[in-house]
Amino acid sequence: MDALHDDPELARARRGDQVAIAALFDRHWPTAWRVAMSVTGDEASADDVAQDAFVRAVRDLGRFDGRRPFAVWLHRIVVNEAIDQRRRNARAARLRTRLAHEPPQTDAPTSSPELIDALMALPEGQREVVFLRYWVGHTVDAVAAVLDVPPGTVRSRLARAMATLRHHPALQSLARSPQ
Amino acid sequence: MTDATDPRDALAGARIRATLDQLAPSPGATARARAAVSAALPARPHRVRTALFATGAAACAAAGLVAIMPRGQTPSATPARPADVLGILATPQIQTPRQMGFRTDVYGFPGIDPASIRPLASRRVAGPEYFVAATRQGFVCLLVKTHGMVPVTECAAPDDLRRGALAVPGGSASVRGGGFGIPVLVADHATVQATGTERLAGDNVWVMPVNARSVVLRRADGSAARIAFPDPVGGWSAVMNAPSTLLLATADHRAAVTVPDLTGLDGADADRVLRAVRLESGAVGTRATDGVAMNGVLAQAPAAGSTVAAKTEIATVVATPAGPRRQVAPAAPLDIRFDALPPPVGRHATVADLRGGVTTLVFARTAAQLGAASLGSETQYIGVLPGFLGPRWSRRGSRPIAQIADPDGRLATAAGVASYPTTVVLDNRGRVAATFPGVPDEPRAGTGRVQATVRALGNEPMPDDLRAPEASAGLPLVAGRVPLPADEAPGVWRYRPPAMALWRFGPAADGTTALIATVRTRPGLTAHRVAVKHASQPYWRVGAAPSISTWVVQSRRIGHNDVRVLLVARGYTRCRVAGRDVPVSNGLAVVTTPRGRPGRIELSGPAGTLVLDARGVPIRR
Repeated sequence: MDALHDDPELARARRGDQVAIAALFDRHWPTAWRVAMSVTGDEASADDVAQDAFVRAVRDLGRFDGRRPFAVWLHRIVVNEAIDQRRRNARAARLRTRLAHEPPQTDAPTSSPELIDALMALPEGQREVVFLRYWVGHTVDAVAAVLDVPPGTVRSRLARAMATLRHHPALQSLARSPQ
Repeated sequence: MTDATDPRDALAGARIRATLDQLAPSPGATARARAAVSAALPARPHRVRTALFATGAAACAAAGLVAIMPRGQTPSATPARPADVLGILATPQIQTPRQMGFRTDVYGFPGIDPASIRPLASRRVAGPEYFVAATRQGFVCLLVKTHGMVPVTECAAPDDLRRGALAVPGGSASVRGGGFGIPVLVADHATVQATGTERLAGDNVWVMPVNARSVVLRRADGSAARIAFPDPVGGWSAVMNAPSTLLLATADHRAAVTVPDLTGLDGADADRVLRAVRLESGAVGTRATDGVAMNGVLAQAPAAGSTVAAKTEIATVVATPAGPRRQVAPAAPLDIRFDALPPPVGRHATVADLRGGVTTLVFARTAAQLGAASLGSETQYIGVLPGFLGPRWSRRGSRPIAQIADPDGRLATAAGVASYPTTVVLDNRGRVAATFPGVPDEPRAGTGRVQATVRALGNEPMPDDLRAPEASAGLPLVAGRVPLPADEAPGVWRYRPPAMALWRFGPAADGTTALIATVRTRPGLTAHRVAVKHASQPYWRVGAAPSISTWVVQSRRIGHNDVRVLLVARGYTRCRVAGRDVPVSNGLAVVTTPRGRPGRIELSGPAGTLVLDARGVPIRR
């Protein structure tokens, strides 16, 4: 597979076509931000990390070889950027989302602020794989590539995280559901 | 791949996703990121960048013009715009100048548009910060912020930047492996090739080691040009901290330039604008005018918009304080005693000594009043107090403050001072030219009304009886020489304090010229300065003038040769070095000898024969 050949927009972006780069930004910015969020656990930090990572990615587009999907390459940059930032700065306050102060807009079990708190309370490694797997939508192998860990590690972290989360009230009904 | 998981986990994952989906980047963060990504676009042809970012018919026309041009050519009829050579200038400004660390409104060059300032991403964590900007006159600028809030800035016309490069000698930066280098700005897609050269910020700023000898500029269109040394005598090291714009000259630089409009600019700012377009400041006239900024340019010749050859001198007329000027004439002879470091301390002078230069007197009652005075770093002032403060109080930082004791207030009365504190500026004839209430509060050099008034008055011609003071006394080099007429004093370099008299030596065949000046360093005290300039230099190198009849005023190595600039007194018309004749042109000879073998210099003429050592010091007659 060659992402460059499969994605003409990407090829145009590599040549400096701003229209293509703008399209690339629109397509990948939300997920890049989610990846940043998964590592930083803080919205403001995620803004900065995702922006810096995107800038770095655009500057280094020439180095993208197309052997893996662009999203994986980009998300790896985001994770690196987040780790760099985490090293530079002490972790700020935990997530204080606006959801905690706003009434839920959908049915309560699926948009629980408590669930977000529970997700944020997961150990970093577990939170990252949960976010990347279920929020960003990566496969286990892609999560492993983004985090630069073996797939087995991803699976074990995922299993531990889900074992913890199953006890959360918002997910308990699922645990009891006959499947 | 084994992504098969417990179905309950899949459901849980969907719920997790639904929950987290309510977290999203804010529109503001997205907009900022979009702008940042635009600013970080990789290098690409001008026409793409221009068409994408610029707006308006003019921009489109310019883009089209560039697009149809054959490789290696640039439009001659339509001058390039700043964004044509530095695409980052066409991107949105993400931070305000204040957010970028510019805490004042001073950007180091006249007319810089604050909205145009863009930061260049530096490749180093520490060290200077680099910014680019455009001026309202259409120049592109490199701003180097090393310390403090005021950057060191140099500017050039976009067309010149497209053909050459712009160095900022005052923004010296360290280079890999130690030593110092000069930051150099190049247009988009251009590169600088020299040993030890390093790309510093974005793709536009390079640092060039001062010992670089061969520098090649590879332009955006693929053509290459060897960058000429800015100072053929001293090389790069000679221009470190030189207070001038330095446009790296390449062989095919434009020969003709358009004269910019200088009207309203401060005289010093006008000089900088002229240098930015490779013109030189010519004779400066004055006109006593009220209601305009002091030292502001009132007129210029040739006129703005006309096309002239590069390096043409542009004459200007600047505003000085309007009359009437009243002579400081005390009722009785006034004996002034100076008390300040460095020596001479306790020196006596008279009111007549206040002539010969522009004098700033700060009349104060107390040390506290005088201590509040602040007048930049270039303008000297004299405190006038009822009594001396003593050496401890006669310094402000490292600067000595001369003091005059005026116990009975006779000098204040003669100067028309009605209240304390008051600042009085005297012109070079010793007349009261301007009076300002209070003490000057102008800590930044080159700004403020008092400093502008002092600079403006420095352009007024000296009184005839002061123009050649003791011409030969202590200065045999100028004995028998006629001082330059006041209106022929070169404008590109003005003595601070202004020259009472100037003598010109040369020019030699290679364009080297020297000047000797007599300046008043303090009322009643004079000193001599020598300045040397090669035709290719945009500035004069100034030093103390010797008090002997011959002297090597400059000695440099160029390639495998030593080059010495020798001044000789009248009466010596022939110069021989190592058996070869060296032409003497109006008292100036440029002696070139193999490195390390300077040889003796033999002078002869109606005055006799003189043998000099390598430094120009006489060995025997």
